[in-house]
Amino acid sequence: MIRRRDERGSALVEVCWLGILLVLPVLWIVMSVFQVQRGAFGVSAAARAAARAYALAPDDASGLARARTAARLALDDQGVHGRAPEVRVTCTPYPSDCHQGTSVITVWVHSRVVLPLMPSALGGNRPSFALDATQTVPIGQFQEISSG
Amino acid sequence: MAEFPRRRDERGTVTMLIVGLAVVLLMMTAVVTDASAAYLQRQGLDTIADGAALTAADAGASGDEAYGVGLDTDLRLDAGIARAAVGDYLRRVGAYARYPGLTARVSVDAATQRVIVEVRAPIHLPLHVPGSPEHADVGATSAATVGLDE
Repeated sequence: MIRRRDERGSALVEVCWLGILLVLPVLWIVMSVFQVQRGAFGVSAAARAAARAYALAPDDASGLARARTAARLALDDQGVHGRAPEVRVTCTPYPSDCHQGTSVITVWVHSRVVLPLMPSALGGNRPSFALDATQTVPIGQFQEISSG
Repeated sequence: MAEFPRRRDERGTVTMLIVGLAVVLLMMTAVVTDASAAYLQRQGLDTIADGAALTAADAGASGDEAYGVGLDTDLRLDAGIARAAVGDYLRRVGAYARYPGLTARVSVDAATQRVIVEVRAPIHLPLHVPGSPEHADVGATSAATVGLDE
């Protein structure tokens, strides 16, 4: 009888301590992993969309504007809101004229995912996870000659 | 007396349940992480295969038919030039450095005049889960052709 009284309530204590010490951190890890996964897929899709938009634009200036819009739309679609993604475009072998024939365009998209349930009160900026993706698109050698 | 052993056996079952739940959650997280890594590598290889196929189709079609035969046919592809263009493109975009062990297979379908590029690269899974493969390959296939607009 004595032993039975000693064991009373132990399940409740175990649930409280293990629940707080083990399950809550594990749940936070699961949430963070899914958040980062969503961001990674979003950035990957954004790079793909941005590169395609850039390659199909008539010239470099409008291409960059379209690429930025496409990247933002793609990230919005994936539920990654917040700051606009950073988009950089480089091309070889003509760095100043990306839409020339046989050029290879590389679009780099960079964004950040804020980790969940981390208040800014813990100091500095809210902890976030940096994500980036690149996409490469070649331009064909056969180009339509513009009027002029 | 028969009640006591059974009650002692049941001690700690809540602990086991909670620890088991945590272990299962962590393993599922590891599986999701590995699957994401594989998916992202496939996206990257897709990109490389797309670019390589486009470059190969573009380089392999010299465009001579447009002057000799006329514009009513697709451009004929030169398999040798297409194959060389794929190797050149992969080196140019740094595909071998980004995906060590990358292999590319190029074939030209004579009937449809398509270049088919198949790239494969081994993937290093970031987390190891019991039962996950030691060595895994991710591959992507892409095809391209050059057509003439009227």
